[in-house]
Amino acid sequence: MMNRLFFKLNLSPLLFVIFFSVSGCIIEKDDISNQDAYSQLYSAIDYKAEVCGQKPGYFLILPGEPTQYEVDLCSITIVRSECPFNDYPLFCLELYGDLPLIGPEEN
Amino acid sequence: MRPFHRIFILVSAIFLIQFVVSCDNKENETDFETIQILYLILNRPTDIQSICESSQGSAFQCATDSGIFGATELYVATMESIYLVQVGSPRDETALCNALLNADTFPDPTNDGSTYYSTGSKVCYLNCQKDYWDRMQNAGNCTSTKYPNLSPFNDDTYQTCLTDCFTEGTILPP
Amino acid sequence: MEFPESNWGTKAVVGLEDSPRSNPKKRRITRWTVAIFLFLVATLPLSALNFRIRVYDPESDRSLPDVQVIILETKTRYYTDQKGEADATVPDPGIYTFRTIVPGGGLVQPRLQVNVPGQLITVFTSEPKSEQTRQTVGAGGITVRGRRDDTKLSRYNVRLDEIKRIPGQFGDAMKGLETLPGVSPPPFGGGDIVIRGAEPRSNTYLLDDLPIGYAFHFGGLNQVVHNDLIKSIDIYTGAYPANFSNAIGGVINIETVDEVEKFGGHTTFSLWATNVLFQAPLDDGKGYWIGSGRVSYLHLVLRPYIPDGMSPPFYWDGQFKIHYRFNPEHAIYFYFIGAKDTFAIEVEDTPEWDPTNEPDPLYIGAALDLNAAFHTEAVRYIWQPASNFQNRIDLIYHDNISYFKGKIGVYEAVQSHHNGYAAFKDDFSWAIYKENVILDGGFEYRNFQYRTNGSNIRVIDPEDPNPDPYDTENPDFETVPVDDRHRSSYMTGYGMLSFKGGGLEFKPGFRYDYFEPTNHEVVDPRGTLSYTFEKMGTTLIAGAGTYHQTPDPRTYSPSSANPYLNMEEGRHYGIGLEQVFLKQWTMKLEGYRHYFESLVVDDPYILKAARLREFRDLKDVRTQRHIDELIEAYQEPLVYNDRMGFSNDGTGFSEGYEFYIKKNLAPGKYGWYGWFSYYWSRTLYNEHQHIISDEEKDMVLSADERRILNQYDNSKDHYASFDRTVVVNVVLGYKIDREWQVGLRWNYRTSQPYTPVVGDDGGRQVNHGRVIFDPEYSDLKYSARLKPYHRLDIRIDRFLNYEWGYGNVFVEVLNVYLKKNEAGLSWSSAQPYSARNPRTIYDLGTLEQPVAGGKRMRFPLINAGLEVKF
Repeated sequence: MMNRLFFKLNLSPLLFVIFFSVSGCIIEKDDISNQDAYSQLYSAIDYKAEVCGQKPGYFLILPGEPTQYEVDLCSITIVRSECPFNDYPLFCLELYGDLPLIGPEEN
Repeated sequence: MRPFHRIFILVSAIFLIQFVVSCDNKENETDFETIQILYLILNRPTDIQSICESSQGSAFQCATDSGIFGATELYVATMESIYLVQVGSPRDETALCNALLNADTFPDPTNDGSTYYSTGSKVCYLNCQKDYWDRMQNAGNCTSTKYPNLSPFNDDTYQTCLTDCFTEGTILPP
Repeated sequence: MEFPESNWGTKAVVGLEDSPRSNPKKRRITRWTVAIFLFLVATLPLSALNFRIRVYDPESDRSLPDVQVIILETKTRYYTDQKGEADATVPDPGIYTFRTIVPGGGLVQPRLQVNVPGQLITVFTSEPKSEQTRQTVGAGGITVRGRRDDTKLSRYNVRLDEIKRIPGQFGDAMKGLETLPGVSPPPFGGGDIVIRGAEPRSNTYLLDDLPIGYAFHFGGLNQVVHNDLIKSIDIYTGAYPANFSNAIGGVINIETVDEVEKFGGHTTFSLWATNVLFQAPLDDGKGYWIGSGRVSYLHLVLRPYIPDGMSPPFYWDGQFKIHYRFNPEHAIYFYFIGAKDTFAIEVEDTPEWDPTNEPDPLYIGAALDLNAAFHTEAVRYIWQPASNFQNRIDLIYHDNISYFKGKIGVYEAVQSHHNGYAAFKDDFSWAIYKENVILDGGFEYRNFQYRTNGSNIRVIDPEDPNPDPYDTENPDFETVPVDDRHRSSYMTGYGMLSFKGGGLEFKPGFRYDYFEPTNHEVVDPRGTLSYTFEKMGTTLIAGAGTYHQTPDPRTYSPSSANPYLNMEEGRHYGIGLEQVFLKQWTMKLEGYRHYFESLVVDDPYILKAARLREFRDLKDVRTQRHIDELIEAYQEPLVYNDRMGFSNDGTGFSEGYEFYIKKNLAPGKYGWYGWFSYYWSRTLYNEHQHIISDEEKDMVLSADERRILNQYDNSKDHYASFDRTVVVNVVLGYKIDREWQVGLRWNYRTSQPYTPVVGDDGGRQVNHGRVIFDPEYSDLKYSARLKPYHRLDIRIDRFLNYEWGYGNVFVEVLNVYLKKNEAGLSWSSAQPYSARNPRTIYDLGTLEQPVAGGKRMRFPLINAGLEVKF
């Protein structure tokens, strides 16, 4: 009974709907604005500086528009790093280029 | 009049009366919250000067009973340094309380100068101090040997008394 | 309550003789057939009989072309021609079953007698009259009065076929209620609805006037009632009549199917659950039974994708109904309705190399085990001694069961909770003078049965804005043992008079409620007044009423909450205008204002000066803890200054207006139907609690001074967490032919308000070595809003008609134009406050697939399902 049901079903309009939907997709980049990224990173840096009583002697400067993942990775590792806070954690390098084995691969 | 019409008018009348008259006996319930608050307001400490004098009187009494020369003056000087006040002469309970009750600071580690101490909170300190000195008196600690070691600030019961007064304690009758 | 006696399949046979409204043409046909029948019976020709079938729609008063009719006994199939007729043949005279697939997927199968060659057999596709003014003649000649037209104000009635195929609701009819005016979905509501500014818990869901514990399974994935058990749903959004009790918001009354002609069923398969319904008549149509149920297999489907420690929701539900009519005067019903949901999650401390992959530090080490269930059993007896009087007696047992086991930080709480009642209920309806004066009345006695045991966690210092559950040295929380068993009575009764005549309709009524725990007693007046200008099709309506609802038993528990709580109160006022035009169109405009008072709210300050400790019955003493508690209770029988946690301090207010325009399509007809609803509202609530000001944070006060200060109500009115200014819904369905139907739904709504986060606490708590940042909220509660939400969903249905029923394959496409809708703000405890914390999270209306280059591809969510009716 079920077989007949599927056999009789004219799938073409359904396929049209699926095709229409998938072709209507949007591709978007996961970037966040520079201003937001600085706000997120410096709130973590300020917190750590207050806890440890010191902070690295240079500013963290972003190369361009980073992705949310990169900023999250850097800011959480700053919060969780051990005192003394005299340099930025290694993971913050992800902001400057794709580290092997860390996060999504970039092309 | 036909019976039906009588029933009809009666039923309608009952309904119309019910429809316009609503009742709710909620207001008859006792409002415990209000009663408690009225009690608290009526019994809140007002004569803080006499509470203070009574409290400091107990401290003075212990100092006097210790028999140590200048113990009372030493106590006043200690209070001056802790509360950052100047006590005028004669350096007795009244003068000490005049100064204490207007002190800008109380010995609170979190005090950064902006904290405001209410009358009730000062009463907490004063009552707990009185309690401390009375306990010392009753325990026979107001002697020349033991007195120099006495200080409410190192006493656990005093700390508990303060905590209780600031968090849970109440004058509400049980 | 309604008294359906009609059986419109069989009525097709008897209808011609019985109905005085049959048109003369039909009567002529009948006489003619009878005459020929008499003639032919005498000659008894035993050859095959050729006759004609006509499929007739009484609603539109026309015959339907291109309709499939199957004669079950001979397994032959016919299609009607342009005149709505078809030539057919049977081997012998006799009674045959004419299964007719009505346009739109409905099914009628009357048993009709074929006697003579050339006979015209008429199959009626729907009831001869509209449902609104049903009046049928029962077997014993008693006129049975329907009560479907009981109120015009703020009531919307939707048939199953109108809401079942609305796109974007995964085939669940009850989600279609969201498209009606006065109704809006709360944030993260999981199927719950907000009706005219009342909290979702203030609404009551009824199934044939019987209670159901919850309407939707976990997260709103499915409703708890089988779609095809539903006949129609009435939603009362305000000023509803006195026959409904214990709700201050709205009433959702689901009417179930009340006629079964032959054995059959219905089943639907979806990605995560399957449901099935079987039904059959009993004892030659004197009664019937219907059994239905659903089981989910989401936990199996998702198994490979789910992290360890989490068991996804598993649920089932079942409904069973038996009806038996002994004779026209006596009938009986049995009901069973039940549902169960389980869910468990445990977040383990497994450090990840990549910290962004870790769960929020707040939840590390946390565990939650949640089971919820309800069941309702009822026996209903209907007695109808005369055509103008009916009495109904219900015996009901209803229980809501929940089990909760939670762990966060160093605290663990386990609770098992039963909250239900046993009730005796009587309702009667008496037409005192024809249809012009009707008296409805009834009473109910409920015995609430409440049982909770386990433990509860509560904050020690209510002033503490950031209590730390991870602090073991100076705990901020305390575990309070809970062991409550109490029964309390609730008695309620009502009376309602309806005066009708000359277009005027006045329905005054009252309801009496008595809540035993606090001896709270109320009489609520309720009433509606309407006037219809018959010629213009215009009706003016106004109504008002007072409503009361008993508090949740959890909040009036004598041992851990406030046993002095009163019933909550709602007052509804509404006016409206209804216009019927072009036969199939209805337009409605309404304005309302609802006030809520004595609402139960969290009250961290309320104290009881002294209360007697609960003494456990000696027969219940089983464990050492029980013995210790008993000793303590004897040593210190009084508890002083006990915190009660809840008070009746809350108030609320909601006002708004609604516009609704609907194009009806009679069941079984082709064409388009749908509605447009626009709903504007404003809802404000106030908890009337003391809000700690900034100055106060720097004040050192004694405990008693703080008690006085805490009574100072400085809270302001704020928007309700679910307030939405504008809600617009467009629902359109087009029944193309027997095989195809398409639908669309567009929804626009203002987003709910939220309290802005203005900072963090500086990371004062640590859980499993990870710092936790708690958000600090603005004093301006619910003062910001996300961007408006809108989306378009479409659905295509393909019907496959068979002699045994039909199959229906449907595809839904959600969020066709890919609107990225904001769903809320999410705070990450792993990071301090910044421009990206909290951050916006988006609705699940679209699917996302990460692609290369840190990009993501988004496409609409597609859902497909298969429905089979046999």
